[in-house]
Amino acid sequence: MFGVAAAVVVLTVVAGALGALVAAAGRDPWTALLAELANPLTLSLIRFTLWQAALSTLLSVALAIPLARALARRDFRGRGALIRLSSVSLVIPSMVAALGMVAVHGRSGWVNDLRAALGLARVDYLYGLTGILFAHVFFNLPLATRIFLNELLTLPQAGWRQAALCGMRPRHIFRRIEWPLLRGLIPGAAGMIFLLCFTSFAVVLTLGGGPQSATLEVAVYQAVRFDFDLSKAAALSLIQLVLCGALAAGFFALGGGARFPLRAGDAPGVARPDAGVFGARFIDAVVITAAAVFLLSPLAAAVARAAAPGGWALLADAEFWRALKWTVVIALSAGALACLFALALADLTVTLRARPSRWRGLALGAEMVSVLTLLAPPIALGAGLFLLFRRFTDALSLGPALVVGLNALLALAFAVRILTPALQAQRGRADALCAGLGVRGWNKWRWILWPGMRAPLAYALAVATTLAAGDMGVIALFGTEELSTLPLLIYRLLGAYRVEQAAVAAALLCTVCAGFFWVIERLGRVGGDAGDGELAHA
Amino acid sequence: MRKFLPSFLLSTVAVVAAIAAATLATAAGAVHAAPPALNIYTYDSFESKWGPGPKIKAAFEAQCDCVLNYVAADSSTGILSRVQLEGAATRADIVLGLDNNLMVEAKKTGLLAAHHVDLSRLDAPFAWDDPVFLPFDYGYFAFIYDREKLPRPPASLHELVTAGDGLKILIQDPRSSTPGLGLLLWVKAVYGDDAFDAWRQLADNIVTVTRGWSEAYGLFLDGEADMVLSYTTSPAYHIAVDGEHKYRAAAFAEGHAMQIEVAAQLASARQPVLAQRFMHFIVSRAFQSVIPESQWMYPVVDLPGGLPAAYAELVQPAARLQLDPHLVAENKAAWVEEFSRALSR
Repeated sequence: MFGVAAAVVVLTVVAGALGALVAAAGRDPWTALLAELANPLTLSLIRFTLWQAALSTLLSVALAIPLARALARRDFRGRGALIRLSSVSLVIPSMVAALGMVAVHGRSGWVNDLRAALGLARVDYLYGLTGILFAHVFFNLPLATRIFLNELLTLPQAGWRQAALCGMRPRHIFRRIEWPLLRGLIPGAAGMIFLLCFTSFAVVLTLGGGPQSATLEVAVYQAVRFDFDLSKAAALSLIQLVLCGALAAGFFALGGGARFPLRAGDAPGVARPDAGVFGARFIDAVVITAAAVFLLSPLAAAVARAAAPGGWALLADAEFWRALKWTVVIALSAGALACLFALALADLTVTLRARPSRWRGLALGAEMVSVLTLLAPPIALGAGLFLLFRRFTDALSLGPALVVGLNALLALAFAVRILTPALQAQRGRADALCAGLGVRGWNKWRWILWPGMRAPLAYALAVATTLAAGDMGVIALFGTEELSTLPLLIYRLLGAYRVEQAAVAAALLCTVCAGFFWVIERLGRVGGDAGDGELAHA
Repeated sequence: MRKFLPSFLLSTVAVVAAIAAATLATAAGAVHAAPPALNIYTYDSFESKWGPGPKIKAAFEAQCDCVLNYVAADSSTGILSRVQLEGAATRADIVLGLDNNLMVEAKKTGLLAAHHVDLSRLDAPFAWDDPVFLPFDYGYFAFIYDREKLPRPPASLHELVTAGDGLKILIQDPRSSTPGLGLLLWVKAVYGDDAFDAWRQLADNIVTVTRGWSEAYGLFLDGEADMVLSYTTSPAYHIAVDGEHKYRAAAFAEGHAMQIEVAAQLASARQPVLAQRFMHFIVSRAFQSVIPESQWMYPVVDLPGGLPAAYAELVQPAARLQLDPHLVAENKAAWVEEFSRALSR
């Protein structure tokens, strides 16, 4: 019953933090909520938030389908590298990604430099809704692609031979084979992406262009930071929780929960009858090239920016090494903590799903607990926790522990989404057998479930760790002179005119994230079946 | 790899334990350390290694037999909200880094105490008689440009507003950044009731509105706009550190809005005596001499050697614009809303 305990902890933290905000505000929460709902500025905020999230989701999912198809039926040099590199964008800190976006698409970016070299006028297209959409597609297209690609690669070779015998054309293959397979995955993937885009913060602040494209998350930040209007912050957080939560729950209910791709998806493409068709070749070449350029150029730019010679003096700086140390410590412990909680919550969800139908609602509820921390704005959570802790102790002396705990909560949603389907598959195969043999508790976990859970667990740890490494929201609240991380250091360098050193720090942060990701994910795959794990020892 | 889970669990426990131990050790260290600690809440570019913070810390610690700790918020507005969040339980003895436009609101919190510093020691181009807030530096907001790329910058705010879409600028959000708020009030001081229309005209020139000064200035140095909202003193950094003379502040005929950065002591200070000492230290030469070449702002007392050479090249404002702080406090919310509406089109 670790699951129930974990759910209780998460619920207590979120409810406690928001409750503390409301209590400190001293205004009747319902009055504040109604006042916000009657405010035309809030309504236009909600409209814009929904609009950009819906567009981002639509674009990410719609573009992922042709990309996944192309990658599924092609095998080319660098395919694996492309898939792996683009998966880094899921975990690249949004601040670094925004810098990379500017370096490629900004007014003095690569695209405009190219235009200028060709004698064309420079164009402004990055800031505003375009910038937000660009960044959101950059983050989420690889995620959606990976989900779809893994599914397409599960189709057996024999099926393709039959399809070839039937003389199926590419569009028939899509309609009869691929679409029915992908259709079931879309709601879950869309739900997760919608959630991420709805609550996006740093990207919107940098590339949004100004007040015309503010989101609810930004408004909460301003309510706490600028107006110190805690009841407004609580009211806006509540609107976000309910609205976004309801929409995400709808998606998840449709799709049986979002499924995160477990395998890296770099297994070679299979020989398919539609691969040789000229039209398909042409389309695939265009799609893959365009995606590679769009997804890899900001990463390349983020690294290229570090090429300026002045920046490397940073390495001689004790501040840098301290920030690096804290980044590693915080990221690893937050990642590990997130995985422990996620495993407990996943177990609870799977147990509830196995019960008779009236428990199913509870299973969805257990799933939603894990995304709760993604829905509640971190600034509101942080402010609320500050208020809670100040009754007992000095929040600052808890600094590192609070940063780790909050980051673990923020990464929880991802870890749960990765672990739940994996655990579901493992337990679906093993539960009845174990019950029959009387294998329970530690032994069942260690000998029956573990072999198949190692890979997903490592993947979840990789994602959670890298997310925590890139965190800016929490560390900005609790950072001190001593406790600083690489994202905070980048911000401080920028604040001191040290643009070149900030670029170096950003490139190194990128490297740290990518390094964590690959090393940890690989740990789970070495020496074992990397995929959905069979019952090797049963 | 079979042993992955136990080692995974073990390492988790070990890491968590290590953090707990580190935290406890820090806390315990604070208890055992003999010298008392003075806690100053400020924003991070003041505290950072490249800001004035470390030198000021060293200078004060050399004479106080105490430890000076900074707690850095991510922005000037963040300092106040942090103290408000912590309430009377705050560990802060001093807040340093609010500005003239945030003073009235900060006073309303009732958390601050009088500074008791003799204000006749100040030597600055503005009158000061506030009993709670003590200025520690000042500067003028200005648009910075690269004269190699923009040979003819606008000569007034009016010229900027009517420049047409071709001239691109970067500004900061008045809700999260003091330069952003400064510009809002600057436009208000020049345009009054016509500010809404001025912002509407300006809307097409604005590339983006960033959260803080750092993002905007970074984007400007990356070539994302022709001009960026900063200070008349920003070129001094490029001259003194990089030997680069191409960055200039555009002098505006209407004059420039002024920013006066202030510090105040908390009523709940746990080290009231030390805090008092530090407040007096702020107007000393030891503190003030650090300001010009790390904070890149003007000091509030006369320095024996005068200002650094780089400052000789800086633009001097035609007039110093400042709105009445009470008027600002009363109308800020409405003016910010006006700004948001004008830019939201």
